[in-house]
Amino acid sequence: MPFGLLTVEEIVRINQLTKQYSSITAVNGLNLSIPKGSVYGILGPNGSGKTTTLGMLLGVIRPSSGYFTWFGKTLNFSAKKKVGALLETPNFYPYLSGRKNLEIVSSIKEIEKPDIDGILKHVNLYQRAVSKFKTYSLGMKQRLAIASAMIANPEVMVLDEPTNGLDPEGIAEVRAIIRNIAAQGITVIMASHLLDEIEKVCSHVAVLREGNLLFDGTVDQLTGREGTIEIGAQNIALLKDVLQGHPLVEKISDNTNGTLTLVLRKNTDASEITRFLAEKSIYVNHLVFRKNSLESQFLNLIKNEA
Amino acid sequence: MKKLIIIEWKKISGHRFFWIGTGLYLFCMILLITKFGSLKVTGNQNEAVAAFKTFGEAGFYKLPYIWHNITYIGAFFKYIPAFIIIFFFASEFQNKTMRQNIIDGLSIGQYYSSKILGILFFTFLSILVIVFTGFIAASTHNPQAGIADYFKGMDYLLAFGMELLFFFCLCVFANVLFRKSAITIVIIVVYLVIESITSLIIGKPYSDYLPSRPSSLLITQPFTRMFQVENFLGLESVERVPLRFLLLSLLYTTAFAFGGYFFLKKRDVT
Ligand SMILES: Nc1ncnc2c1ncn2[C@@H]1O[C@H](COP(=O)(O)OP(=O)(O)OP(=O)(O)O)[C@@H](O)[C@H]1O
Ligand SMILES: [Mg+2]
Repeated sequence: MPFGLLTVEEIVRINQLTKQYSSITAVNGLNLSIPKGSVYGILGPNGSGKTTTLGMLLGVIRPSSGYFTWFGKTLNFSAKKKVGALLETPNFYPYLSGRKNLEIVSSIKEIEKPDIDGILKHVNLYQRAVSKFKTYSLGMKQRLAIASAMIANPEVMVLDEPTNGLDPEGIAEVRAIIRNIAAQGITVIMASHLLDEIEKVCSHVAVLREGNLLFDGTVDQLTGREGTIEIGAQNIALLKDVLQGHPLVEKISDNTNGTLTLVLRKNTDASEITRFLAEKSIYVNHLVFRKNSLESQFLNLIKNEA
Repeated sequence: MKKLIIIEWKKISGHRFFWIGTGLYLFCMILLITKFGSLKVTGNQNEAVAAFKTFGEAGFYKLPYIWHNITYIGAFFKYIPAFIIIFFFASEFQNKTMRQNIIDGLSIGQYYSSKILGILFFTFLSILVIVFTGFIAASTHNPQAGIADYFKGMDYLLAFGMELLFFFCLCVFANVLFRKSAITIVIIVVYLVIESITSLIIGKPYSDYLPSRPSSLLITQPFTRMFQVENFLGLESVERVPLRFLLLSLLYTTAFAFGGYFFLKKRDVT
């Protein structure tokens, strides 16, 4: 585990966690470790098992097999108290006001003196505190859910697609709140199918597809995992010959326009390739370097494992 | 426990329907009980009865029979609190607030307990109102009665509570299984119809053991006895709530209450 250093405290450990619905394996033998202080993204297309995973972690979906721990123990009240969570949609009593809803959450979490007004101000809902939840716009509902997750000063926040269905302004607002939360040192576990969201907000990412874990590690590890170069020279055949077997080159393929595409090993500097070619007296006449974006990485992962 | 009561109270007291529904329930119950005495006795054949123009004259409020009479009337209205209970419970499935409660920190056992506390609330409230109404009615119609007279026949209050508790637990059980309020209500009605058909087919005494029968046999229809000649002559002894059915009702009530818990716990909280 790349960040499994002894010094890093583990918030969640997931071990061989599996959820089997009658015909579908929604989550398949998942192993994950979520370090303290991370903003941990769970990324995957629709139906890949993100909500199911979070539902199991939050104690509302019963795992078929495997187990998980919170703060090194099984999920109990004191763990739940330290975790603020929203799963899928904001779930509140529609006939109660935002404030009354937060009062119920505070009672459940046994918070002596909840700072409901402060938290409502923080998510910009103070003006509508006495309106019924059902009169809120989607963005307001989402913000109330975040407020409710924050009410107990949690150590961890679990958010399932927190920007789902919001307009660009709402998305920016919610992301700013999340970044703000993370800046306070709160660990955030967040599911999303939006790649750029993970890229913008998260430090770590686990990629799921059809219930299987394809990758887990830091976002940098994923994006910097490999790069591609489009390269051309007078003598393509010679170029290809020379590059074949170079230790930094993982894969070579021909392009239709008479150039080559090289897939480079992790964190390779393109200048190393050009220097190497110059030493062999091959002069490059076409060079485009692409650091893989998370998106193409993600699509690659999903394609490769298919 | 106190925490669960506070949470449940915050949930239901914030809804207008709770106040309107409960108000309607208590109003109807009190109204019918207090006015029943002045209802005309109609369609009676025997001479002794013909002398009485109203149920009041026929001894509706007479101690110790009053407790039997008014609990029988009061139990007709149990469908109103049952509906309130189903309405709130089903809406928690619909709005996924139950799931959020569990995520926020309640265990399934605590959550379910809070619902059972709600049932107990309606049961005790009903008993309280019956006692209160009965006490006032009895004291105006039995001015010469001593304190001890009021306590005779009070086992019907226990029977009344049992009948309500059973029915509410049946509702909660069905609600756990079927989640949506409309479906739950339809299923309960259909079930009760099927049960009464079955009871006709299998006949006594076997029919007495079907789930909802014992609770409905606790408080028998009191009017036949009311108009029996022996009654007026004071020869008939006070009827007691059949202990056997009381225990059977308790058994079925417990079974439904724990059954609901079992299925709630067994399934994913969605
Ligand atoms: N109650 C259920 N019964 C049967 N199958 C289910 C149930 N809940 C989820 N699934 C299936 O499990 C798989 C994973 O679903 P899940 O909701 O975890 O996906 P997701 O990654 O959260 O997707 P999305 O991005 O759409 O929210 C899907 O194939 C889904 O159809
Ligand atoms: Mg989901």
